[in-house]
Amino acid sequence: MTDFTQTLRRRIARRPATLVAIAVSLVLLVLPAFVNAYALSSYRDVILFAIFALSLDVFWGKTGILSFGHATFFGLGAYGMAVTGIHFEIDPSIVSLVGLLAGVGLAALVALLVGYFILFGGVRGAYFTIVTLALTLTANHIAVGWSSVTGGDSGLIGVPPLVIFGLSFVDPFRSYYLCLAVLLAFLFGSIAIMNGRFGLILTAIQDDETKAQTLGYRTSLLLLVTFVASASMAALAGALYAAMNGFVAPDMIALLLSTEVIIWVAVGGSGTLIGAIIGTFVVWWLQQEISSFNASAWPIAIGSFFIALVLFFPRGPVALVSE
Amino acid sequence: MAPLIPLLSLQSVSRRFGSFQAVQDVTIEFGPDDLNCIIGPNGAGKSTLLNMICGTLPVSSGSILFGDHDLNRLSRHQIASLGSARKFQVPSVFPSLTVRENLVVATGNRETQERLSALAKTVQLESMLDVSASELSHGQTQWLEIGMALATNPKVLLLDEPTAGLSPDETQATASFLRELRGKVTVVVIEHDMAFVRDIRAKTVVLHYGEIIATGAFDDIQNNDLVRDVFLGRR
Repeated sequence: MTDFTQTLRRRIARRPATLVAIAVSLVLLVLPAFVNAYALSSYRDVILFAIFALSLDVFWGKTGILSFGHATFFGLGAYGMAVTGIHFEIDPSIVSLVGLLAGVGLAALVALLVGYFILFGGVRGAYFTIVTLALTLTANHIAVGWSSVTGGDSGLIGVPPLVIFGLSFVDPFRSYYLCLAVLLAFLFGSIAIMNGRFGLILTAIQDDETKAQTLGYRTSLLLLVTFVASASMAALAGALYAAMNGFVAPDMIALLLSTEVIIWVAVGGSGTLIGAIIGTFVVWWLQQEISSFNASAWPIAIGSFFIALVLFFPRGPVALVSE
Repeated sequence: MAPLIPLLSLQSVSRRFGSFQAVQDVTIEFGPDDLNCIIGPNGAGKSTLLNMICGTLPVSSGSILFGDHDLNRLSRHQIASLGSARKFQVPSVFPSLTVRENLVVATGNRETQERLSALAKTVQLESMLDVSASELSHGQTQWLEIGMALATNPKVLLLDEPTAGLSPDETQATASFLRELRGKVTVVVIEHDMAFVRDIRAKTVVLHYGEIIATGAFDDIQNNDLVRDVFLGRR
């Protein structure tokens, strides 16, 4: 056996979450062979929500600071894509790229401005959570109230389908693999970064920020970089969702979605990265199953499930498997 | 011969918490590569002084100079970047990380495998590099924190009660280690243990109710009547 293989095996053995990530990736890669086109579109949307959950886990899981406003960035991505595609007369061959840039750029800018003032202002813990919660409420009010641009309560219908460099992603098979490629790139990119020096420093900041500062680290800047990267990931998921489903609505930038994404990450175990993806799929599957019996039972079920999880498996199923 | 320029100097530094005066008009100069000790009874203002040097507390008045830099104007990470490293009174390491990872974080971009091994050997943790910091004993945690401070290649090493909770053997090893640092780095130690202070033969500053009441070699300090009265509780 080569040194490389031995090193790889040792590293995987040390980090069981990486092993789970590889297994989940393989399942998602072969999934289209076993489902029809309609189901594939549903799985594609779940993958987009999984990217959204992963974006939250990159920030919350690795810094210990809970953002209750992540739907703001998903929604800004979606609205950026929709408004660009519907209100501006842009060449159809580049409208998707412009929309993606607009959505992600807008979310990154908002995250940079808000993050700068609250992180450099020393806002941490529950105060950060409350400020970001207020951010989502404000963004939702704007989405509902600025109806001439956002379509108000009804949202916007007719977002141009995704076309990148002349390649159309209307086909469910193609769009599924595009979303999966984005998910896997973010997942393994995040794992590589978080297992490296940057991840170590974030863990150190989570443990003791003052100590990290006395070692010479600009902790607020590092947290801001992570926050903006996380917001940009969420926005990309939102922009792709809007283009692939053809619409945006205020519930994509609402408190309920901000709450749901926290549940997805918590179910999988925050800080594990792959757990955010598993959590999204588990909660989505539960929602399908329970809603098929009784549609109104879902809110009670998810609440009960979440409480049970926090009480009995606070670190999520991935951590349980690791242990 | 030109006079020695102090590396770290405190000029008329005071710190007030509401109506309580924790540090009062303290002026001290620490020369390059000096071994210094600040002693005093509980509540004398020793840790407050160290907190101001590190930037974790702002001064109420006065100034603290690190070379030409006025520390009052700098943030904690900037002060650290000048070459100031600190061991806290309550051992402060990163419990989610291993000993190796703690040292890697502390070294910034400077670590090599050899350097990590050398640091671990210096603080007697070379066999525990892959052990979680949360599993270390109190003494080992103290040593790891000292190792992390050394890993930053400091010009000034600030140690707040480095022997607190250590066994006699560990205390002796710490004293020996500090003596070896003399001439290599400016060390400022805050300590209660008089035997330890005698052992490291440092220049000594005595604080009482936030004010300096004596400075000099330890032998002179321990014969000072005022200091004896303070430590015996007569004042």
